[in-house]
Amino acid sequence: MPENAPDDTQMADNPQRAETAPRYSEMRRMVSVFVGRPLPVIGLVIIVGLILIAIFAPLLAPYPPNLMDIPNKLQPSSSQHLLGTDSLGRDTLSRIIYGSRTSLIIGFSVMSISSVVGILLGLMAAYFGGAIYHIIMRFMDALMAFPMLLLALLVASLLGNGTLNVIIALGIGMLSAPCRLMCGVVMSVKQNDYVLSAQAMGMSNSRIMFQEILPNAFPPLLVMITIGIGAVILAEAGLSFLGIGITPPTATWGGMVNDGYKFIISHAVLAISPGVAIMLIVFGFNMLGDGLRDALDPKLRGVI
Amino acid sequence: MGVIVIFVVTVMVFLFIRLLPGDPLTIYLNKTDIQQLTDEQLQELRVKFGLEKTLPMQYIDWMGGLFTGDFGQSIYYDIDVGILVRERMPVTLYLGGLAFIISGALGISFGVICALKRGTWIDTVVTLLANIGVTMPSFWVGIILIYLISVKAGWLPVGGYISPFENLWESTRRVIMPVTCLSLFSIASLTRLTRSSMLEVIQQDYIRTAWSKGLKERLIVTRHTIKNALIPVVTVIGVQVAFIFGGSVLIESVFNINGIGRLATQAVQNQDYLVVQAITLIMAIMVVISNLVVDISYGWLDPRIRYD
Repeated sequence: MPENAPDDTQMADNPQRAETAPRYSEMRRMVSVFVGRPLPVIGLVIIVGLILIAIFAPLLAPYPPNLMDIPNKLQPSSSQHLLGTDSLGRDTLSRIIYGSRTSLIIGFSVMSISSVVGILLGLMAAYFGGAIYHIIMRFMDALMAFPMLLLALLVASLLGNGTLNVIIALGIGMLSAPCRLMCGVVMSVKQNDYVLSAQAMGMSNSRIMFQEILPNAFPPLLVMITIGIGAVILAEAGLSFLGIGITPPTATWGGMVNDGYKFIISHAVLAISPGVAIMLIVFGFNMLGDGLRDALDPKLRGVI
Repeated sequence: MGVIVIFVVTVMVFLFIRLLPGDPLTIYLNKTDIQQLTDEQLQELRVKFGLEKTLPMQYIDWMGGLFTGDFGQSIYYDIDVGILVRERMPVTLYLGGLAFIISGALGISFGVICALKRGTWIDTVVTLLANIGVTMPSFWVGIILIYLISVKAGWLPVGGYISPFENLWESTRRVIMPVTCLSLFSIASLTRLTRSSMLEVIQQDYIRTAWSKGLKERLIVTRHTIKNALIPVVTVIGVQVAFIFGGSVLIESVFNINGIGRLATQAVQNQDYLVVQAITLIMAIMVVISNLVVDISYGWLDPRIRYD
């Protein structure tokens, strides 16, 4: 979020601007661009809301997520069960509330793993160049060629079911975006004089990479990671829908859609309601990402 | 370049199977069979499958097999993987191809219209729909379509697949909903991308120059704006191909279509690794090839790019 970001990292990508404007006004401009339009704010509200729901799930959910009540199975919506109950008599609303935990945990952990590894690989590829560049980038090209869902299927089938294995599977699938982005930014930044001067001053390679180059890539990375979390959540929903990865009875939105699909004719709400939750969370991350992109993009200064 | 990427893809797919926990023989045999066999018999089987050789040699054997269409034997279906894949492939290619053409045509046109009508209600509505379109899980859209169109309205059959050569009318009736689901995400994301790319190009100096030269609006839009705005759109075509293939895994399950995507899911559930391996490899190679086609078409869109 731009409000919390250290402002010198955003300044660094536009040195001319840094000379003419005081630092904090730049920060204010970004905040005002971000807050000035409704969609990014709606996105932020959705995400903060869902994070709170996930944290306080035990307090908010009317029933435990896995509490089976066979006599009351497949109930329509009522005051006791707002969204009815599934084929095992579990409360749909409670499972949707708990399902937010699964989606957010997978989304955040996959993106943190893949961006840390991807950023390191991208930095190395671009900074060292030559053979290292070619090896890393051809590997990324190959990774990009695999449909994400199929790659995750393959990895999950090799590793077996389980949350950690899903995180690894999707993490491998998401690796190429941060790596390529990082590599592109570094290639353009390393031509700058201040990198040359840092080298002339005898700074070590790793210090130049992390202190001089990495901060310049921060704005586009932040946007990519935000939108990436939405993509990961969508992919995880797909895996759970196929019944691969996270094992029952853990509540996952994708798995709930699949369970509800069997009762689509009589109990449509079972399949439809978790899908709405998936849409909402992905919409939130996409809008937040778009908002950040506009707020951080130096090319849009003065346009909005 | 593409050859190197295909090589890396094959090495990765090959290693995936080698990374399997336990004996590689598990690929060819049931787990119970392995426990019953004596060490000597196991050794014989290893020699038979070429597993006693070093990894690079095994890779060469495997690649040699691929060139002659030998993908190995499916444990679950007990037939040649090549036959299995060849049987299921046309279905996925037909649905995917339709989805690809539709999403390209609609996505780019919507994006262009939005950008040209920027700020009007058309732009607002289409952009909002596109923003919602990229958030909807395709399998969920499929279920809703089945519920509304097949169950409630009874207009289209729930699922299944009939070849268009067999019965074009019945085939089309069954294809409409799956293709809609497959193309929905691509339409929405291409609309978003084309729109923002168009808006960026419209601001360029050469567009202002074209206006001040007194060129006709139609010429400015088609020759100067759209052609330049399409460059970033064309870049993601490979991604779209990969995405449609990934989507077919889900959509074929929803609509009960026996294509390659459904085969992949079933193979994973049955631990039929050679089938998973073959499908992954074929899909990845097709994505690489479409990326190559994209690289070549760049030269036409952007004459500054030359390949030596």
